[in-house]
Amino acid sequence: MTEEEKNKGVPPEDETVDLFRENEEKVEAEGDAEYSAEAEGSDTAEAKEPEQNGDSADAEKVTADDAAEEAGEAEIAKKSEDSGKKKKNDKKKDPRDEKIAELSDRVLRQQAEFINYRNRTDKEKAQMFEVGAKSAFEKILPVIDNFERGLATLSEEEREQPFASGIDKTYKQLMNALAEAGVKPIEAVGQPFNPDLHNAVMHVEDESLGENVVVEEFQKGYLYHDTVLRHSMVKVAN
Amino acid sequence: MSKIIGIDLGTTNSCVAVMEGGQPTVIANTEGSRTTPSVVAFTKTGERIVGEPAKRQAVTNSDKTISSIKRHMGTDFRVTIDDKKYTPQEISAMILQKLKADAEAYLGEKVTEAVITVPAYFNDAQRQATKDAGKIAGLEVKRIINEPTAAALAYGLDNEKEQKIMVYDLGGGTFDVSIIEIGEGVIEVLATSGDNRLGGDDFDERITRYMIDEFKKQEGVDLSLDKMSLQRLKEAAEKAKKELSSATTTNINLPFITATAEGPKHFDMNLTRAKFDELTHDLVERTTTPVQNALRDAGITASELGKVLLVGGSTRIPAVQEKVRMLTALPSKAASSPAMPVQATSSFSMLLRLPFPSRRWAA
Repeated sequence: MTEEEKNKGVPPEDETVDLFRENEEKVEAEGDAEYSAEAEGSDTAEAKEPEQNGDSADAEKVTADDAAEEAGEAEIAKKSEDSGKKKKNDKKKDPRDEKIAELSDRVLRQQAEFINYRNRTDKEKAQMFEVGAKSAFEKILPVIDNFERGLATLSEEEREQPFASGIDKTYKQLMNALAEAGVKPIEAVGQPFNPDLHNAVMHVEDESLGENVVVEEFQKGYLYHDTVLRHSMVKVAN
Repeated sequence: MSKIIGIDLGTTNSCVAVMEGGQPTVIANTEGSRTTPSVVAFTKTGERIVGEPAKRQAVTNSDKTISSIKRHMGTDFRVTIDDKKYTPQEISAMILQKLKADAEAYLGEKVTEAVITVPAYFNDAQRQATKDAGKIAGLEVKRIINEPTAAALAYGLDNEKEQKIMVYDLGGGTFDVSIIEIGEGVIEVLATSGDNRLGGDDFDERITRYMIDEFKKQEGVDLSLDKMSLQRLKEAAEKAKKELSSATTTNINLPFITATAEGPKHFDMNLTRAKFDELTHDLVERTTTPVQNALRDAGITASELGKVLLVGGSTRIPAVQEKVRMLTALPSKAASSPAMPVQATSSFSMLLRLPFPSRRWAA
C-alpha cells in the first residue's frame, strides 16, 4: 500500500495495513504524556516497538485496540500528518478538529482498556501464590497415594509393628500439614455425582443403589481451598 | 469496539486467544486450562455443560454427551437429546459460547467478533457450517482461516520472502501435513495430506504396552487387568515420553503398583530414548507417505521448500524431528515459542494480526 493510495481516501477496510507498523505510527502520533505516566516504566521510545516489548503496559494498551478501528485511526493519523503537504479531495473540515476528536476518543477508549487490564493483572497477581502452591501440591498427591497404598497392604498384626506404625504416624503428620496448608480430600463415596469434583471412569446400573450416586472411589481427589487440585476418580451408579 | 478473538475449534480440544500488546495470548478457561475439551453434555436435570466437566461425566451419561462433533460439520447429521434435534452447528455453537464466555471473563468486556480456524481440507459446506456455528453463538465470524495458514501466520512467515512451506502437524490424535505457498500478501494451501488415526496418544500406548510386557516377564502379573494399575501406567507413560524429549533416559517409579498373595509389588524401570525410538519407530515412519503425497500433489520436490513448520506437541519428540529433517533435508523451525503452547493444537493465534478483509487469504 503506497502513501499515494492512502491519501486518496480509500475506506480503511480496503487497506492492507501492517498492524505493527500501524502501531508505531499511532504511538508516535500520540505521545500522550499523561498516559505514559500511568503505565509504569515505559516511555514512548519503548512503546514504538510493541512487538519487541511485550511487557510494556503502554504498548499493550495501544495494540489492544479494536483492530479494525485501528486501521481507520492509523489512516487518519497518517492523513493528518501529511495534510500540510497534500490537500484533501472535497473535505472542508479543519483537519485539526478531526484529529482532536479522534485523539480524544482514543484516549477515552485506552483509559477504559487500561482499567480492564489493571483489574485483570491485579487479580492475577493475587492468584499467583495460589497457582504456585497448587502446582507444588499436585506433585505431592501421587506420593500420598503411595503411602495409602502401602499402608493398605498391611495386615492388622503388621500394622502394630513399631516401624509400620511409625510410617502410619508419618503419613498422618503429612496429611495434617497439608490440611493446615488448605489441602483436603474430596468426599466421594455416597455423595451425589458432581462433575465439578468427580471424574467418572465407570458406570454401573444397579437398582439397589441411588440415582447418580458415587459408589466407589478409585483415586482420592483433593481440594486446595475451594479449587480442585485433583478430581476424585469414581464409579457412578444409574 | 470489542476485541476480536481467535478460536481453534478442534475435534477433541478447542482453544481461544486474543492479541495483547502485539502478541497472542492463549486464554485459560474458568477451570484454569488453556485448552477446553470439545465436549457438550446435557445432564439428567436438563442442564447443559461444556468442556472439562462434560468430559468427566461422559462415562455415566453417554447418551447425552456429544464429542467430536467437528467430524459431522457440514453434513445432515443430527444429535437427538430428549426428543430435541440439534445440528452440528448448534452443538459447535455451545462450545464457542463457552470459549466466548471465558474470553469475556478474562478480558472484562464483551466479545462479539471472532476468527475461527478450520482444517485446510474443509469444503465450502463445512466452512459455512463453522461460520453458522459462530453466528448462533453470537459471534460475527470475521474470517475462517486454514489451520496450516494460521500456523504460518503464527510464526510471522507472511512477512518473509515468497516461499513454499511445509506445515507438519502431529497432534494428540491426528497427523496433518500441508504445503502452503506464501506470496505477495497471499497464503495459499497447495496440498494437504495426513493420517487421522495417528498422534501422541499412540506413542503413549506403545510405552504402556512395553511396561505391561516387561512387568509380566519379571513378575508374572498382567497389570492391564487392573484398571487402576493401568491408569497409573498410562499417566507414567505420557510423563516418560515428555521427559525423553529432553533427557536420554528416564526413570519410571510406581510403588505398590499391585499386590499378590506374596505381598505388594513395585514398578521401577529405566527407559532410554533409544528404546522409546525402537518402540515407536513405525509410528514415526507412518508420516512418510503423507509427506510424500503432499509434496507430489503440490507438484514440488522437498528441495523447493523454504521452511518446515513443526506444530503439535508430538513434534517435540526428537525422532520425529529427525524424520522431518530426513524427509525434507531442511532444518525445521520448531514450535517452541512460549506465546504459543504447542499443546494448543494449531498455533493459530497470530492470525489476529490480520483482521483486514482486504488481505486476501486464499482459502
